Amino acid sequence: MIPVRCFTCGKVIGGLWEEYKERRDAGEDPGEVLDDLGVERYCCRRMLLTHLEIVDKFVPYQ
Amino acid sequence: MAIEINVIELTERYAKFIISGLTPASANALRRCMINEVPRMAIDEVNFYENTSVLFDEQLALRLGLIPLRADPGLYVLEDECTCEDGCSLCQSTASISAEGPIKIYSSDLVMGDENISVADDNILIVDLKDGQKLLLNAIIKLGTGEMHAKWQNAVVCGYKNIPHVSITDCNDCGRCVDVCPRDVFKCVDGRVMIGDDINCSCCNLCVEACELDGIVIEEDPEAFLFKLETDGGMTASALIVYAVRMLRDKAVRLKSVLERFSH
Amino acid sequence: MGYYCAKCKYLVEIDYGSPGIRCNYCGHRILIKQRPTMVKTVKAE
Repeated sequence: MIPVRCFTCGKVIGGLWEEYKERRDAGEDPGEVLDDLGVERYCCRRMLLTHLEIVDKFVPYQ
Repeated sequence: MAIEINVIELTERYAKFIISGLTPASANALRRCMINEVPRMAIDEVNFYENTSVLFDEQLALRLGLIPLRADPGLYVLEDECTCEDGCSLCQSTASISAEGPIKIYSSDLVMGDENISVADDNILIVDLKDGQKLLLNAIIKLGTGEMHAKWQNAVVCGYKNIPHVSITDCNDCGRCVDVCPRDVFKCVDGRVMIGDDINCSCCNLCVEACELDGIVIEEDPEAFLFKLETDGGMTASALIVYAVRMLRDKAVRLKSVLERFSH
Repeated sequence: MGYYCAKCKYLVEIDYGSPGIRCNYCGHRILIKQRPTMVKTVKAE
């Protein structure tokens, strides 16, 4: 689960992850998707670019 | 000195405007007021009845607190200014979640106790509940200001700079400044160097250093400010500016009345 | 309030008289405390 806000500036990025992931997996360039989503600053961009979903890996060890 | 406002860009959550004819102190007061002083609602306390999700209670509480809520700040009063001792309907409201997996819980799944409060962004994933995981919680929403915690901060980004003025006094059209400028302030038209949008200038002085004739002068207008403001959706950008200006004016009036009392 | 085994999820009653703890069912030595049934209040910050 992606953080709700950007750590640095506080922009709400929690709602952008699913669209970003979908479009990235469909083969679009991640940078262009971020531009399109209105993620302008590099602090917010790294939040999405470097995020990794690990919930499914966690679950068996709950 | 008349204060003039020139709006360059205004959307629901973003504003870019030039405000001129005011002192640097007043401009900074406006900025600080928009960031720190304008109150808004946010989840402050969370009562967990059951939580078998992958996230700890504390992590979940933080995520809930950071969700932007849309509400009129005039509907509630600050906890410190309320007449009650430990919370009443005047200073706080509630929200709750009750769910069992497998389900993804989004911010829109928050059940608000007051219909005047709504979530600004519907699609924020709070937690992904897997098979058999349960979540039952009741959150308390309170009014607060940005100086207490960043979750009560209306302006996500709010800053200003003095308006720069770039002028060319001497030029041999070598084009070095065009190449060196990171903000594309200069442009080349038919072999002649011209100044394009000097409002984008960051006063880095690279062009001044690059110019062999020392023919570029960069000045800053000390009384004109370019503001950039971004909100998280709890308030529209224009409403935030108006609210902050009103608060600033009320504070000034209060200070004046106190000072007048002393002078008598 | 009991403890459950981290391996087989068996609910273990701890015998405080004997030295060491271990799961009565599978013998695993890691036990996890059960979540209390009371309401837990957390500040969202």
